Amino acid sequence: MPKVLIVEDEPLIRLLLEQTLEGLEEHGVEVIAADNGIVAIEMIQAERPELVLLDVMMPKMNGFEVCRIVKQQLGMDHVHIIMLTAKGQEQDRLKAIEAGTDEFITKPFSIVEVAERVAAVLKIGL
Amino acid sequence: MKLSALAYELFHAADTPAAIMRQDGLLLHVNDAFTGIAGYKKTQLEGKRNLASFVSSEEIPKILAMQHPAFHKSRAKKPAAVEIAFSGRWGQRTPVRVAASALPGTRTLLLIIRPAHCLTAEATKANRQRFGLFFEQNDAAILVFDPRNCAVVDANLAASALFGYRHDELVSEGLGLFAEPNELDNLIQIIGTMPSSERSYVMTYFRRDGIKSILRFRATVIRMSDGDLVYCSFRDIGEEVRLREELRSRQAQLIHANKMGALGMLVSSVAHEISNPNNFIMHNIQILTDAWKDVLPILRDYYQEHGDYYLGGIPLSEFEEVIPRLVYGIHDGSERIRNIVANLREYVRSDRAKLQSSVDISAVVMNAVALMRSEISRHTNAFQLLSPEGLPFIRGSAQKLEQVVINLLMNALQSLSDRNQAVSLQVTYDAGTDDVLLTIRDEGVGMTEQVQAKILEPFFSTKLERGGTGLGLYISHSIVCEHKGTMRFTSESGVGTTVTVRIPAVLGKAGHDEGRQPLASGVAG
Repeated sequence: MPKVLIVEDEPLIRLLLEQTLEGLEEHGVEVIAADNGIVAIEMIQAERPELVLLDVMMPKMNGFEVCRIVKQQLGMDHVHIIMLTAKGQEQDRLKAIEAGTDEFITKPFSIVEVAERVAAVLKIGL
Repeated sequence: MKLSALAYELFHAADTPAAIMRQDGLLLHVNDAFTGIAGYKKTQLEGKRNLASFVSSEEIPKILAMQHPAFHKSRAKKPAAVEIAFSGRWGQRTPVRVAASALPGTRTLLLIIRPAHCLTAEATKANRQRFGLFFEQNDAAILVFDPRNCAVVDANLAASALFGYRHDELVSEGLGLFAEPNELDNLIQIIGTMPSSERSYVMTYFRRDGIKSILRFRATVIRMSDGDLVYCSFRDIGEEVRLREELRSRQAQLIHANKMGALGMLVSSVAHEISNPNNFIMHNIQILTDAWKDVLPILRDYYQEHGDYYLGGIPLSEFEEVIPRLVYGIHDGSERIRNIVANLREYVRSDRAKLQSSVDISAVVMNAVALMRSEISRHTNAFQLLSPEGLPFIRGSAQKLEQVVINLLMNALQSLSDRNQAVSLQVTYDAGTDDVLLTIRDEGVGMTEQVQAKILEPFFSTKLERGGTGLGLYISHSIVCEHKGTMRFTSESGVGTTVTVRIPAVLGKAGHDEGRQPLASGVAG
């Protein structure tokens, strides 16, 4: 069963993303969530999600670091990462790309776009 | 034809798309605004008869007809105008009004192109008043922005109520008052790029009172005669998200309860079915053990007379060592089956038990500790018990709670890797919440966050290889929930674990209540 991991420290945004993606459960996708970077890394190793929606601004360990560890240190390049970047500046986008992200969505975000992008990665027709 | 220098400047500097067209539809001049909406370079447009590139073939005659004398006669004082759909190079179609004025002394027309709705807005001032009323009395929080600098131009009453700022504060300070600072740049970009109202966005925000929540906003462009404005309606969806989550969680609980009900019935019958054959194994293995002891001397005698020989493919010399191990394995396995079945039966049985007695939790703890005394001294020499008398009662089942205490205490003891590591058990009363608290703290191996996330799941155990069934904590948690209580874990790997059980107190102090339930066994010590 493919899994999508949501990593977001802001509880309401995390819940909203979970609720947005719960429709994917009909397509056999399991949605799981973590509220910080350290737990996210543990879950990525244990649960092996296909896709990670990764917030950038988080306490303890930010999204860039999580992405770098997953893609470069753990060699889990097959995990598709979509970063949720709050800052739109070029510098942050470059940081995300350097960390190895596959794509990013900027905050404020459109939930329709999140659902479409996730479905596209998982090759699910919504 | 040639334009005078001034006319040329005015023509090209205008924000409004304009073109000068010959009678036959050939475009002589187009200004920059025209090339902007058409999507073609000036050189691709001027000197060419290519109206068909941006007007459909059915609508071309409408434009050409504006040059007809009859057309002009009827609208002598106003430029002639037609409404058409203008198609840009990239396929975008915009309803526009094309106004045509004949340029004196030439056989050419000046075409001025304006979005159709712009003119409508301009034309009806009454609409503006109506819009003002709609804006001010709207339940949705609305801010109107100038897209050039994203300054707030206007805010309605609902916006002041939502964000907690006065109209003048919202207008003078703008987005920075409530937006998350690191989302501000993107927010400005969304508003500044004249968004489509079809898409809504989500953002976090801060109210004046410091409360953080999330907003859904939708932005749309309104074209006014003096420029475009962006109209944003905001709605706090924090409560909606929370409620939906509560509903999801209730549904999940309901599904879980149904599953557990069905599982209970299944378990009851499976336990019975497993228990019978398992009894045969337990009983028969004992007979076989005894029989083996009797047979062994005979086999040895045969060995002495005839030398080594094979039994089941194994030489007797090895067989003698193998058989006791096999028998022990069967016995141990059967014992584990019996324990699992007993646990399951207890759970199913206790599920049906009533929870109506007043229970003195201190007495329950003392009783459990008394039963566990030998286990405690086997694992630690630093056991501490604090269980004062006279705490409020709780309502429930002493036997079941004793099971919880024993289970938690056993887990704490088994987590220790050294006898010097401490375990403490404390019963207290929280007057603030009117709960009785049972706290069991150990200095054992602790748990990772991953393990913590799973410990309440049935059949999850970190001690499977040591005979754990994965049901102890699951059942204990179920019992605590039946008592309307909670069970919380705080743990750190390598440091230890603290389990806190909270159960609501009922009236009456221990030792003064007639309805007190006697304990099943043991003496507090």
